[in-house]
Amino acid sequence: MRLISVVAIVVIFGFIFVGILHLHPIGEPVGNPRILYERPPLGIDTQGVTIMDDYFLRNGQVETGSNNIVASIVFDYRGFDTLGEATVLFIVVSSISMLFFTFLKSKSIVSAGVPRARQFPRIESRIITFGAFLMYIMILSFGIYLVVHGHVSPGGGFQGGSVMASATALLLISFYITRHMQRTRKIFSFFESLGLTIFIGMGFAGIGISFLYNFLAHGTTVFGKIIPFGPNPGYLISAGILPWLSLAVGIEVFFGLSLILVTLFHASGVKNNL
Amino acid sequence: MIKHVPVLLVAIPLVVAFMLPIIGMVNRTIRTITAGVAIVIIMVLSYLLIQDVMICKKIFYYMVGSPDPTALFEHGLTFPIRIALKIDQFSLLFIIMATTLSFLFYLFSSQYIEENERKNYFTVLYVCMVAGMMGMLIANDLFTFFVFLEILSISSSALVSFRTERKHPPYAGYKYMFVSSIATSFFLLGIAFLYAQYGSFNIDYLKKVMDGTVLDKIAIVMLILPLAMKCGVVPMHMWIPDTYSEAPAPISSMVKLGSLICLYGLFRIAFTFGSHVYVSYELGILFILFGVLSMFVGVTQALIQKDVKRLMAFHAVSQVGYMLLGVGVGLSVIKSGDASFAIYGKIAMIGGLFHVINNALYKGLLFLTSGIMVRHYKTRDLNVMHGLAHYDKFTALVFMIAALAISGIPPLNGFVSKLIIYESVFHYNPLLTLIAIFVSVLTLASFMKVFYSAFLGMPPERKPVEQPILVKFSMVILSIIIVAIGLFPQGIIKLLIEPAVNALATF
Amino acid sequence: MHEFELEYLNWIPLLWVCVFLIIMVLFIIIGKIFFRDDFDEMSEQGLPFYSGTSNKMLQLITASNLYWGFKHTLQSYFNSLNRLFISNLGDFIQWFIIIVAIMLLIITGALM
Repeated sequence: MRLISVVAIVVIFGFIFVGILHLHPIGEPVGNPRILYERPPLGIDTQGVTIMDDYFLRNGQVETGSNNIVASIVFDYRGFDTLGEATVLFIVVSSISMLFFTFLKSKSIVSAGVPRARQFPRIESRIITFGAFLMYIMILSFGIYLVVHGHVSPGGGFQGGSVMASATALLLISFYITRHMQRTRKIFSFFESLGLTIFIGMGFAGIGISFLYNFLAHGTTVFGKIIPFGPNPGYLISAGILPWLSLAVGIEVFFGLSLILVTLFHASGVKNNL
Repeated sequence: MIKHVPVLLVAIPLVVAFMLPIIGMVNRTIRTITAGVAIVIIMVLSYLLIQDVMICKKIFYYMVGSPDPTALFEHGLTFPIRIALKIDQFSLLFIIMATTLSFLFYLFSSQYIEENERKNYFTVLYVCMVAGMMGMLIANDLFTFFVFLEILSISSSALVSFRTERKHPPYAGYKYMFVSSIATSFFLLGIAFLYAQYGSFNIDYLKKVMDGTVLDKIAIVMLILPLAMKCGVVPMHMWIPDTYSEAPAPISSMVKLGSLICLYGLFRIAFTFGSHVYVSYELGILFILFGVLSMFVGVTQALIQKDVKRLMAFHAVSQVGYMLLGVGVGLSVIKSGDASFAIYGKIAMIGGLFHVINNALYKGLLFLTSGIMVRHYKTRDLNVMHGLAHYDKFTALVFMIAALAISGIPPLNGFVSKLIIYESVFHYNPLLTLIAIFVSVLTLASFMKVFYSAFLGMPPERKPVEQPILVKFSMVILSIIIVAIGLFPQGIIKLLIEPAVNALATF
Repeated sequence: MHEFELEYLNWIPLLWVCVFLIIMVLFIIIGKIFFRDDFDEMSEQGLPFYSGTSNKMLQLITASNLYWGFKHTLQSYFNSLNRLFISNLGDFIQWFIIIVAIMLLIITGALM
């Protein structure tokens, strides 16, 4: 039986290889070349790029107003999929909280009479605690920089939020958070929901024209600065609703991942008396 | 306002799901009512669309984020650049079924699942599951379909392991999660092939541009088989008994509904891409083979089970075989030169799609009644149960309606769809009809076994507790719908099913 | 004209239910008139007849023994199927990979 499955895997790889050989060769334009736009042509050669990506490269910066083409695709052109991905993270956090819930409320801890803070080992070294505190501030500020500058330089909500969550991991490893776990989890859960509500609220704000429409761009308000085509030093107040969406996703990812870390850390401190 | 309905079907459950943890911290009754109201709103929205979509034969397109949502292409382009959502007659049939049934199952679960602090998360994940189903049904874009398929899989696998105080549910949830992630990975591989060749994710655009090279055929196989695994097609069905038996009762019904939505994806991809790549005949033959195999293996394994929910899970596998048989016959003759599609292919497809609706109804009702049986006896073992009908005549009556419906006894709805499948498949090959009738007989035999063991015999030692009012209400509504569809099938077929088949089979 | 018109002219299930109810009512009326006069439902004649044991607990056959003949005949088939359900996750994926390979060969026309 295992032999048949090995043969099957070889067959599948063979077919994937054959399929890749049938792809169009790089260097030829594909699809429908009749693209209507009046923008100046790019300075570099864009042959071998598919038609949708070609449109994004030529018109993305001017239409959305952000220098980071990845952020404009993630939050503007295909913002609905980003909403789905943020929902996936929310679902994972909720299911981890649900699955560990009875484990964390087990009576063996409460009736033992030992205060919760004594369950975890204490680190008596001042270097680790003070160093962790300093590094926490630095990592948080780097994460906030990545989130806020998402539309100017590489970064964005997801990347910055993960960096900020690693700061929480640092605090947990150095046993900085050992008491008031329930209140910590409640606060994190509140802010995570708040972040996602801001995201979808931004989507509903433009519902007069379309869901997730970039209603702040195209020169209407202060966020709608018209960016000229080509390299520029980067404008922070630009790109319509993109910085707000990036901020909302950053908040949600930070608090969600921190909630996972705190829940798992809390569960590891419970004695196995099930 | 009606032009925004496609995206509201997904956005309203999502915004309610995001705010539910905060609301749940404040007040529990408001949380239950809010989630129920959200599902009722999307149910009403889907009924409002019947007039436009089914009767006037309009199709709703929506481009998310574009200055003009109903225009397919922007300012002079000939290809779409944003995410497209589409509601046509085939989608609307499944949307109506999904919203109505998730509302009824939510009513059941609001009083069946006991109220503790974990019920917050239950409600959040339930509403996210509904949002995932809606997203899959309206997506005209392969990547959006993939994202919402993932939302549905993860939330339902978390809900399957809801009862963590027992030993087995987390294992069942883990198995389901593992199988789902393998399925979604292969699906992503198929999407990657199509995107690398044609440069777009949009299903309508790919339908226009696709030519029938080897690459397209590989991509179609990679797109179809993961969805078939999630529907429970033999021989990839081994995860189904554990998942359905260890989940709480309303979640079993919701997972079944989710697998029918994956069947929607299967049919959509097979019909949209299959005809253009000239593989519709081979795909149809393979659907028929998978269907017959699922029917036979499912019901013979169901007959010998002694665990009531595992028995019903095997029946879920076998009923999927009926749907694949009906639609497979239609798919295999859709491009033949003669008029066999008009003679019997279209009727077979009508039978297959009608069977999907009926199956969701009676299978959901069966799982709900099994929940009540398990709640009373505290065990799922049929050897231990006896005599529930002495005290609880309501559950016995409801179970009998559902069991007769699944076996295909007139005048309930199972008979209508099964008869349509028998008569039309007979023209294709008489042997298939014989196997289908034999499987139906074995289905009746296994449900007679369940009724005999659990409801007849000596009265039980303890009197059962009275069921809460919403539990009874949801089961009554489901049985009324089953009986009504059985007595008046012409209206449903002419209004809902026939436009759906016409929309699916255009090529 | 083929017989698969969708008008369903003779498909009125409500009529069948009404006819069934009317026939049932007729049977009850005729039964009450013409049944035997010495049949008394309150005495021992009204109880169901149990052949075999008189122990009430053993009269309900347990569910595992119900379709004994069917299970015994197809024993080898069930044994070979039971080996799939040991929850070995590798086996689940194994079957999926084999079916993907077979379908790739069939659909791309390499095999038939």
